[in-house]
Amino acid sequence: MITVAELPSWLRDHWNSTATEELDFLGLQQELGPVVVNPWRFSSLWPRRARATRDNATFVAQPELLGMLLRQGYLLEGHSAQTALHSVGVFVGGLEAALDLPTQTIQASLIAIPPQGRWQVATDSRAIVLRLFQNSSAASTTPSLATVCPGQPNALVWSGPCLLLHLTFKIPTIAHVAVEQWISRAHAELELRRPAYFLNDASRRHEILESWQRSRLHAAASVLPSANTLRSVRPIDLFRLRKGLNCKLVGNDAIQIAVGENTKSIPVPVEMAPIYTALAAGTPLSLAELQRVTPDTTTDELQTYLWQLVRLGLLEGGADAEADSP
Amino acid sequence: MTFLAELIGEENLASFFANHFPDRHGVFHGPIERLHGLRAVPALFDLRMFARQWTGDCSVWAPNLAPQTGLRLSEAEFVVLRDAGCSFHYRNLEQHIPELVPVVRALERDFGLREGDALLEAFVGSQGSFVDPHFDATTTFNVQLLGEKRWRLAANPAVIAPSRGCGVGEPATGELVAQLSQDLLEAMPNDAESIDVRPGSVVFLPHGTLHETRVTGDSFAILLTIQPPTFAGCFGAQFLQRLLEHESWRQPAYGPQGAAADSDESRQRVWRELLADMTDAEIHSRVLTMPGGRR
Repeated sequence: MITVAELPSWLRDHWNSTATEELDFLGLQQELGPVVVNPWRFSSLWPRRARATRDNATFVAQPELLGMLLRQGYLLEGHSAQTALHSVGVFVGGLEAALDLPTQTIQASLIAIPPQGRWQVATDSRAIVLRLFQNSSAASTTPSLATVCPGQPNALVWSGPCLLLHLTFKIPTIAHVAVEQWISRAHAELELRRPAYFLNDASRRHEILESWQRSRLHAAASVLPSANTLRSVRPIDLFRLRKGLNCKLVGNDAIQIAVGENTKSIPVPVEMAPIYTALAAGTPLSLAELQRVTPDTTTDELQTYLWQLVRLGLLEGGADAEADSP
Repeated sequence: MTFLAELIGEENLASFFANHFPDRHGVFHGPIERLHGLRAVPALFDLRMFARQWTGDCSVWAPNLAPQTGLRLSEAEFVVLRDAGCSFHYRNLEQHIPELVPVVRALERDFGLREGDALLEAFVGSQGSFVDPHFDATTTFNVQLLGEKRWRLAANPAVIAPSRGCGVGEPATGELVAQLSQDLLEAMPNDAESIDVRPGSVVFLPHGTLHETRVTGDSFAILLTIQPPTFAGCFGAQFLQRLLEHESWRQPAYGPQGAAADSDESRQRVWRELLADMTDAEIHSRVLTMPGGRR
């Protein structure tokens, strides 16, 4: 028994046309075994029937522990399923492409839920949640699908142990994009980008109210993003080697960097080494493409590493990489 | 005595606000014994104890290697890496060492900030390690606890109070470009101040200040970082809440359910009407009740 919201037609169409072919839930269930043995890091743990009492402690789940916890009625959630599980990654990537969404818009969690229970989740104004179900004890092996639209209260009730794929669409609202754009433009004015010290100091009230008024006037004169602009502000996640810089992998744990006639060798983590070979061709690559050549890293680790390289001046990233990309 | 007075010396308070705060860097020397709030935490004065007690992640810089982040080290691993010449960066000390929470709250009170607008970081540097010249978008008090370090400091002629940091010699990107009054410098200026700090020294480093450091004797320093929202950020946060009361502004910005072009005009009308409707008192009171911390 699942309480679901109405399924948007575009999602149903995508599910019917692609997902059922690409995502074999029985295969997914089998895949959980080796992943857990690997092991997979579960980062959330809800006691039975509890809501919003997430245990923040991260733990690495071993099969015996997982089974014991499930039998005890715990619900287990593993984050970053799109990188931890190949089939989920394929499905999520396909869904993002079909919906013309930037990569990394959809975040997936795989949730193992105990034999009986009820899970009530808070609403999230910034996310669309899609859940795909495989109830292992049900007569039918056809996965179920449910969506929860932003703001809709929802609850799950289940009667047997099952796996659940929880997809969250991280798409900002028009308001968030517009205000972030406005703040970015407003920061061109020194008085508006100054830190708001002494906010609670009554003697500074006049100064603070002046800044409100200045902000208000600036916002009133601001050009709001049109629908076309909003489409163009989708996050870009392309990376490429900095212009004029050549890079060659030496062995599997060092790179030789050349700028003009100057060369320098620096060691690199073995698991990150393939990105240098991939980027050496000169074509900007997305985070998802670089993730494919670094299967031993999580998305977070890769993203952090790439932005460190951007900070170090080895890579150009984000909009800078796309601006004049071939 | 306020925590700020303890930090820079009560006799320096007037000079600090007249000559340094908010944009001009300054260095204040004094005996480490004056820092009572920090002295109450023995782990801040014993690196092995600090490594043993630290349960969070850290970042590690090995010589000639890109930084490694999100590492959780045992005391033994810390010792091996430190002996190999690595440097370490720790964030949010107050979340892992409860005795430091009063220190952070005191700093927030001294600068009229909300709870969560300040945080504590720590740097462990091995002799000879260095940080390339750059400027940050946060303001810090760097407190030298153990060892010695050489700073080079210079005012930034290209930008005051930048909202983005940047390495010296690197190109400006994003919103920083519009904040520049001239091109960024390609190198530290020759007349940059060179200052040696020792245990008890405090460097006030306003955002935008050009700086580089070189550790001259194994070093342990903490950073009291204050990062209140900008005035535009304060206004924007409150304005965002008002916009989100309207369905047309809550629509996804892109994707299959993204914004429809035909609703542009109605959204713009809402934007204008809300701006006219917001009172100073409302903004002021609501901002003060917002939780602190940069989001």
